[in-house]
Amino acid sequence: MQNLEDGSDAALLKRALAGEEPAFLTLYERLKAGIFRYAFYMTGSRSAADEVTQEVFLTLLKEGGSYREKRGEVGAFVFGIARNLVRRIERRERVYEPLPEEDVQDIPAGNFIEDRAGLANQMVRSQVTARVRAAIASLPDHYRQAVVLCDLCELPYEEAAGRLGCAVGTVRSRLNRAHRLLAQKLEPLRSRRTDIETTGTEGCLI
Amino acid sequence: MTCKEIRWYFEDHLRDAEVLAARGAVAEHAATCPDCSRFVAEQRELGRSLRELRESIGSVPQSINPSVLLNYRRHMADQNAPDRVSINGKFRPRLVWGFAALAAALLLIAGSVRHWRHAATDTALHATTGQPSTISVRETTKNTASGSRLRAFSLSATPRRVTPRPAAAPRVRPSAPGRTASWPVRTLRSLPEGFRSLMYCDELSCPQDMEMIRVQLPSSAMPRQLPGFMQTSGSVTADVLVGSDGIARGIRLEEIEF
Repeated sequence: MQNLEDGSDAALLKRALAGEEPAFLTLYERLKAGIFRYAFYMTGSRSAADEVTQEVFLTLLKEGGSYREKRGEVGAFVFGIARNLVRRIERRERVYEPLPEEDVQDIPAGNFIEDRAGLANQMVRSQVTARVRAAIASLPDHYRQAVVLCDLCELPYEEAAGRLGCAVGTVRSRLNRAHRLLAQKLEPLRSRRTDIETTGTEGCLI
Repeated sequence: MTCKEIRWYFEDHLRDAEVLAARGAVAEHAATCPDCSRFVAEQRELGRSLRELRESIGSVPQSINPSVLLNYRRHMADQNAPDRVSINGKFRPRLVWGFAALAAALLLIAGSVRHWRHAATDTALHATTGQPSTISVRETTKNTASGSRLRAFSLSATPRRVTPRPAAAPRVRPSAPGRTASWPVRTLRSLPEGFRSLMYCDELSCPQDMEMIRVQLPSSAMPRQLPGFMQTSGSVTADVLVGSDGIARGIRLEEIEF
């Protein structure tokens, strides 16, 4: 197993395609978090992110033979698959109206009575998260990709540029523009949060 | 620190915007510059929102692990199955399509060759015999639901090798219901007895059963040049032979009412 942990993604993929299950599992453990997070931030849905993660690995098994190490990392190859799947899901889901707050984190029932302040904070936080997610979703695709990869998936600019197939400078400028747009979209939220922070949440709860 | 430096600083370190905003140099400049103060507040808020969004995702659900593993095992089992079309152990759907296309092309060629050979045999038969086939005419009578009687003539061609002989006058016998009479092709170019041809009819143009329909028409609708027919103000009853293609081939006048 130690041998597998040290191996490169490309070597693991090769061994996985040859039928070595431990190699596949190691590769899966390395890549799944990134794929899941990317799909979740892009689609805003946990179920869609589940679907994309599973499909990505299935596609990797089918198309993995066409991967060439000299053309890029396995991570970039897998990201390409994930991006196509996300686009397909977006096209499919475009005809439906999303249910509000579909994927908001569940609040444990015990907190309702025991910790009012905590509950209020969680509610505000959920609302803020939903607003930020909506603001990101409303960005043009190339800006959204930059924000998701750099700010949310926390990839370095160079790696993000490699995944998006553009120059580092392009990623920087896209990110800069996206931040300005986001700041504009979140302006109402900022003033509201400032109000809550200064006055507290008691008034809201009564 | 200048306004420009502050902007560069935040562009590259948005993830740490909350910490940066509280730093001495940034705070000092922001206190004296309203634009930068607003910018720093904006960036700090954006950094905070993005951090909260990052934290909201939690961990990757473990529920997908078994299905991914199952997919892997299924894929490997499929790949190792011997009945799949594969090269070097890899399933090739294009190969399957290629085989299918090849099989279809072979079938098409075989069909064309067979058709061509069949046509060639027929031509040779015609060429050697001169009278290659006989046509049987069967006249049947059936009662329709309305009580009127319908007589149907069925023509069927039977290929036969016939020794050429000098043309003789055809022997035409009146056909009785249910009785079959055979003529060589030449004689059959004229329709059964009593019928006048409305259009050319031989084994090629009317190879299948014909149906006889009794019609009643005003005599004015009949062509004047029909031999033995005089136009009156009454009506005409006639039997019409109609081919399977719906085209009338022959007519026989039955009754003329004045």
